[in-house]
Amino acid sequence: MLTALLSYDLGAGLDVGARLRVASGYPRTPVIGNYYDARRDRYEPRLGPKNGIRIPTFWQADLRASKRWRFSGSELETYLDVQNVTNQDNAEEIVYAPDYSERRYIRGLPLLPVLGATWSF
Amino acid sequence: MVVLRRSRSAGARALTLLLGAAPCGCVPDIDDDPSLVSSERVLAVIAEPPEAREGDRVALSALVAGSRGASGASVSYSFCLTRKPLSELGPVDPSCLSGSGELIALGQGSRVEGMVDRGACSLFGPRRPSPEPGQPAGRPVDPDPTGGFYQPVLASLPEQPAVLGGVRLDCGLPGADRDQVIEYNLRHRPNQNPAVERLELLDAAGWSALDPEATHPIAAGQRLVLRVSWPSCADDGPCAGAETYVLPVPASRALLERSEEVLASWYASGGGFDAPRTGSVELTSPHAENTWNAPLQPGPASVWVVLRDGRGGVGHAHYRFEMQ
Repeated sequence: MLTALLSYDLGAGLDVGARLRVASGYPRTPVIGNYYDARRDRYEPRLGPKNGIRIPTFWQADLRASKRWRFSGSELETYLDVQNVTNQDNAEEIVYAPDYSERRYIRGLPLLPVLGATWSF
Repeated sequence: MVVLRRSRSAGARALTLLLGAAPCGCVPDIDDDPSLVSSERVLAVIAEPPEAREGDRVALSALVAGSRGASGASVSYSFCLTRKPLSELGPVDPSCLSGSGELIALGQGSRVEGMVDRGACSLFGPRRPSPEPGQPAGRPVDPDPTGGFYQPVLASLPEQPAVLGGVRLDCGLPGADRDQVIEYNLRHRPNQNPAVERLELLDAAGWSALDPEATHPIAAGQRLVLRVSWPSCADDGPCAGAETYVLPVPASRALLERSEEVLASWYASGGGFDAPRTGSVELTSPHAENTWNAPLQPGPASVWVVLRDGRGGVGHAHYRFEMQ
């Protein structure tokens, strides 16, 4: 996993920053087929080589901008935090249909803007 | 999303306000209805008798369902004789499913016969397997919660993956002393297949039994409350319902008396059930209920009910409906 951070003070209480994360996917054992266990009334997977596949590589870029104002004895900080600015459709885990006939991914968060303010006094 | 937080730390007080967009769900929705029979498939593998000793002959058949009616004549059967490694989590050695394992072909047809291998209790049961050259003897197979061991059976339709069934093995009590063996032999009753006694439909007049030989007209899209019943069993003797059986407990060397659980699995060529399988909680009036939402389109439809007892026994019935 690789994480890169960049932050820059523009002056006048204004800060901007960026974060880039890249991670190779966890290894997983693939399902290469299925069969029906009629005695137990359920489907079972036929597994391929152990840890034979990986979840696709994860990468995400986040941006943040903040502005601070000072008042008498207190400070107000407002910020805009945008996670996953490229709206990357990251796969985070594999899920199978109950009969193992279909494989899909649990997806990560989409683009998520967060507007916040902190008043310290 | 709005979050307000007030905190006091390191002598400072802070008030935080967050505004954000709540993310939508990220777990994929995979449609899968195990009750829907959209193409020809094997729903159950039936062994008669369902419990046998090494060297006994058993008859095998399959319940084959299909949207246009189907028969079991094209089903091929085989016994898998490859012992599953203890590290293998599934119920059968994968080599038997891929065809590379040791398989005894039993033939093709609506009913075939085969002999339970004379070493089945060592391969799949409580007896220690023969040691491989240069290796110590392996350990016996662990029983299922009912104390059972099974000879794996594979049933295959052409061009389809094999379906796994099983014959419960009667291996006695290896390692037990003489008194325990005598008691076990006196109390043990080999399993019998359960049988569908009747399927009933709930209407304004109450429960009415459906004729398995007739086609029953119903309204398209109708919600039908169905109830399947099986025989009530006395405490002793063979029975086509929830039988009592003895469960050996190796640690205490005791024989506990248990009653089988019978579950009904529901299948239909159209529409959908509230639950894919239902069970009975009432031993004196053994039955299971389910609700079938009949297909919206006019035409024929089939419902199959498969009863499975806890010791590998299987019974089934087929009912026909005509949507109007």
